[in-house]
Amino acid sequence: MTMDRREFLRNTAMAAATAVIAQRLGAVETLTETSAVTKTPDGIRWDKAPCRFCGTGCHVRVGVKDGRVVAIQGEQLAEVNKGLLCVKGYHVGGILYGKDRLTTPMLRRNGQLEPISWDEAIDTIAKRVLKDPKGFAFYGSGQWTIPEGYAAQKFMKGGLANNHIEPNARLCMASAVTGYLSVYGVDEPAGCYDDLDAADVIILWGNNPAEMHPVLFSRVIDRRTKGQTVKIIDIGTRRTRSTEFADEYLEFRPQSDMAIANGIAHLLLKNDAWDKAFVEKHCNFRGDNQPLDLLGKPISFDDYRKAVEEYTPEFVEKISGVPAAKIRMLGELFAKRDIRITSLWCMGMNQHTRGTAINRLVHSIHLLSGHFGKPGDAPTSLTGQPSACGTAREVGTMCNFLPGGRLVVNAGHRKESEEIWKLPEGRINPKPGYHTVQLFEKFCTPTDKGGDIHTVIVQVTNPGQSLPNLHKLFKAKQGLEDKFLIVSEVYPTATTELADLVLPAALWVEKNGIFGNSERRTQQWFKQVEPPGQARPDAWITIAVAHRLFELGHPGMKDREGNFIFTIKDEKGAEVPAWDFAHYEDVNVDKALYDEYRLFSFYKHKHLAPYDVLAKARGLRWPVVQGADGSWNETKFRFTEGSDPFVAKGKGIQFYHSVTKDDKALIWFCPYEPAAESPDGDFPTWLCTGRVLEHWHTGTMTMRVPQLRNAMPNAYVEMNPDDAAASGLGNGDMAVVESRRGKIELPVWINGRARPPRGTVFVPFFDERLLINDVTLGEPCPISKEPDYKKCAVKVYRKATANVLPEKTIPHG
Amino acid sequence: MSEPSGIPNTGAGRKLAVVAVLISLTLGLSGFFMGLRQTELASADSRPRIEMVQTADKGSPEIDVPVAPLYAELPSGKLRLNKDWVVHLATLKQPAPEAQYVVASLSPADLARLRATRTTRRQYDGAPPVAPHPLDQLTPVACLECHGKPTKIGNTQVSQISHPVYTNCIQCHVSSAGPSSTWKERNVALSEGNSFSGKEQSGQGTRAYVGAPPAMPHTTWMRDDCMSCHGPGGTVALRTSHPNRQSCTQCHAVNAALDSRLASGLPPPLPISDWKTDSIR
Repeated sequence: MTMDRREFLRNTAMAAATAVIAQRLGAVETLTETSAVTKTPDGIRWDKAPCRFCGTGCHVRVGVKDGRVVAIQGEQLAEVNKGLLCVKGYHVGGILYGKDRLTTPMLRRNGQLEPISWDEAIDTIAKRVLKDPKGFAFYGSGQWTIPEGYAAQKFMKGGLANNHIEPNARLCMASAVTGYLSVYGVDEPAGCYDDLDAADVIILWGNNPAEMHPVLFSRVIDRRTKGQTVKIIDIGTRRTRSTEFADEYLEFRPQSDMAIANGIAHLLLKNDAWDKAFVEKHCNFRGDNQPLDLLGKPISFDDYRKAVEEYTPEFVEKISGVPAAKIRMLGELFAKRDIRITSLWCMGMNQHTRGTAINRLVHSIHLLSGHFGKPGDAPTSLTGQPSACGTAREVGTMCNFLPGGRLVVNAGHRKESEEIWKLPEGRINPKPGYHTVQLFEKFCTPTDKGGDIHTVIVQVTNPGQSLPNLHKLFKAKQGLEDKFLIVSEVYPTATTELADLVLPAALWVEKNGIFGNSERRTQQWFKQVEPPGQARPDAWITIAVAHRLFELGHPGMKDREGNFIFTIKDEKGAEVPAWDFAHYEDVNVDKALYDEYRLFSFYKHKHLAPYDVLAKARGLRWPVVQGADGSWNETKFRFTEGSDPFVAKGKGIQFYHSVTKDDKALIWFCPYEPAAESPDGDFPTWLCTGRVLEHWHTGTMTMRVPQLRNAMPNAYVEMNPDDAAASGLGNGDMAVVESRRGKIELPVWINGRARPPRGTVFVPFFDERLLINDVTLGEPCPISKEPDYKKCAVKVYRKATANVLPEKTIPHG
Repeated sequence: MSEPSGIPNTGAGRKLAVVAVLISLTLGLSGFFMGLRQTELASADSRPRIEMVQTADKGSPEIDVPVAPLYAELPSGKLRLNKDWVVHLATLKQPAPEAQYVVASLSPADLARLRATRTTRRQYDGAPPVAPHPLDQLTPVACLECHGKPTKIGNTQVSQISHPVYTNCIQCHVSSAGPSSTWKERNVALSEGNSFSGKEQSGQGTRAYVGAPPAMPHTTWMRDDCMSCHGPGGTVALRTSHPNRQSCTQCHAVNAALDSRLASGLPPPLPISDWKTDSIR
């Protein structure tokens, strides 16, 4: 891989050299160590930035002319994407320029949102908080930049002693977190994207990277064009674009992926094909406690053997519908020591009522078979948001975490955090706050009925569309007079519909930022254009509210020396009033916040590079440790000697944050259990929800880019042709999709973007006019508290009247 | 799609049956010409066209109706020609490539029209163009049938792939006409409601002197096939006057200054140790 890079650089250098010889036209700035900036003779200034959308973390070059983004290129110097992007990435510049950008703060008066000043808005929030700080909650996302999330985290847990802070990542990868924690004792993948270049077999567990992580998928399938062999096994519940490239397709009944994983373990043991040396040296066995908890209880190897005994290929076939021969094929693959296997998964395994369990099981079969720690041998979860790893997981913006993998329930961790934040001892509340579903339940419940959250501030996410069971968890807020919803947004959304205060936010390259992608890579960018109107960065909003509270005398806004908790100093050590927007850009607030946050990263050996080092790189994978020669070195393969600087010499593989404190990871057994709601006589069909290539999450950005919107203009219900025929439905007919929680009307697309098997339908969730989350169940995993969006029971029937989309339309573009 | 309807055995029915024959012939022929690799998915695709033919068959025994082949059967070799199948492919006359080639001589109006079309198909110069037609939503295998080599369909010159073949075309190129004909809301004007204004197409390249080969006014990043635009099948203005010459960059230099990632001003040859962007490692 290093050779590739060297070669690549040599080639580009050669190309540059010949070109320069050939002719010199116009003056160009020289790329310097500290800058990725170049200018071309057409007047365009180019700078680096990670893409705004998914967790892949592609780097783009942003072309800016006359203060506006005019072009995008794939960044060739970025190892993640090597110059390639997907259609969303190529069009990412368009998200800044939708005609309905929010440009002024607005307060709801008599039902109408009316413009107010920023001072008034900040004052309104601060007074709401001051009145009852305990009933205030902060809801963000994996789209928060690291400094934004860190500011919110410090403000809530360090300032207000309030743990009601959550990211939407709870809805997205909380099960991956509990999976990693319960297996390795520390969060995030050990492998990285380099595994995709080295694997012989890629297994997709309920995953459709051809649409959701296209650049990574291309990285795999383009190997075939280069003459390499890579076998793709798609274990899924519907045929997708990814299936088209797969060598094997195993179609399983929803929820039965757990039986398949256990079936693989069964075969490894039965055929005596497990990696005894690896397991002996590196693994302990584990089973569930009742009730279920994060760390379970130790079990013996014999217990484990007995537990997986019943998962014969035939038994697995009975549960999953996957032929026993295919289960045997998987068992034989994992039995092979001379091939490299990488497992990939995303929402299919995470949004699962047994999300933690299925995550553990996939890690476990990799450990049991020794397919771990070598390039190409890795169980790797992917993330859906650009900084789900960086902000939600590493900064720990969840109700139970403190930064750097610390826990609010741990007295030592609280003390360390108070130390770094210079807070008086005992400031941090030891009780975890409400997790996302609880938080919105409490917010939507009348105060006199126990709804003790009165005010929620939402930044960089759209819960009014992305929460499950919206009637209960979001729409019930309507009419509750004493509840107050504050939304910082870039466009009007399903969430701003119910907002009492709307704050216009700066977006992407309208501010400095840092994201952390799926492979532990931290990526920094600089502001490149001005935000429109009065839109301002979210980090500023948080700091300004904190300072207003400081002025109003909230004691939590002072550290133990009596200084404001967000005291930011310039290079000479002079205090900069960053809460005053006129001075916000006098100093790089991102750098100040990040370099303070970085101190948290050492405890779990997630060493982050200093800000100035990040600024020079196209992202660096932690742990990033400085070598004797002063260079900063990233880590490709965690826990592996020679790559991870924290593995002791001679260990080979060392799980140095082991739950059992003996450098061993845990092989778990968790039984197959049925879904929370399965189809029955009244509601005979499985509903699965998800994304499509062209739209990202709730579509607030991509639906405003004409090229993306044209390609996929509205949501639909994807049906099997036989089911459609049985219901008398044809393409484009309006169908009603109804569950016990709600119903919506959608156009039918027979065998649409993918091919669902009989008895299942799929609906994407990007369309705010067609809210499928009115229908979903959202039963959470009891350990991770992440809701299941992939499985619930519905009925689908023909709508009697004419085929028309709802009246309400999103402004084009 | 509606349920297949039974056709009564009357004169009108016979006409309908003939129409059915024509439909099935058309389907069969177009299927043959497309000759695409299809997966077993196609066999799961039980669309009414087959049933319609069978119904007609029952209703009018005197008509020998060929059954349209399934794409899925093509690679397996199960497909046989029926007696009505006539293939003219081998006898079709194609003009010699040189004769097909006409150096474009365009009026300013033509040029403006071509440029305008080009602009409507991309967000900015350098963005992956959108397709002005619906796209098959599952696989990209069909794309190269038309876009892989110079192709003309009716009066439309099909644009050619200018970059190396990546496996997944639909990762970057999406439809501007919605995913299929059943979509209600389509062809949102690309400028409406979004004020993004993309980098414009570069103008003409400069020449050192009259008669000198012009320098390229654009980068060649991701585009290695000059002939896709400038060759006989090119859709845009500038066609080469010498399509037989293969090594374009022998005479036409890339302007390094246009490359957003390159730093000119560095003295060539550039030693790798001096390459400044990799200084982290």
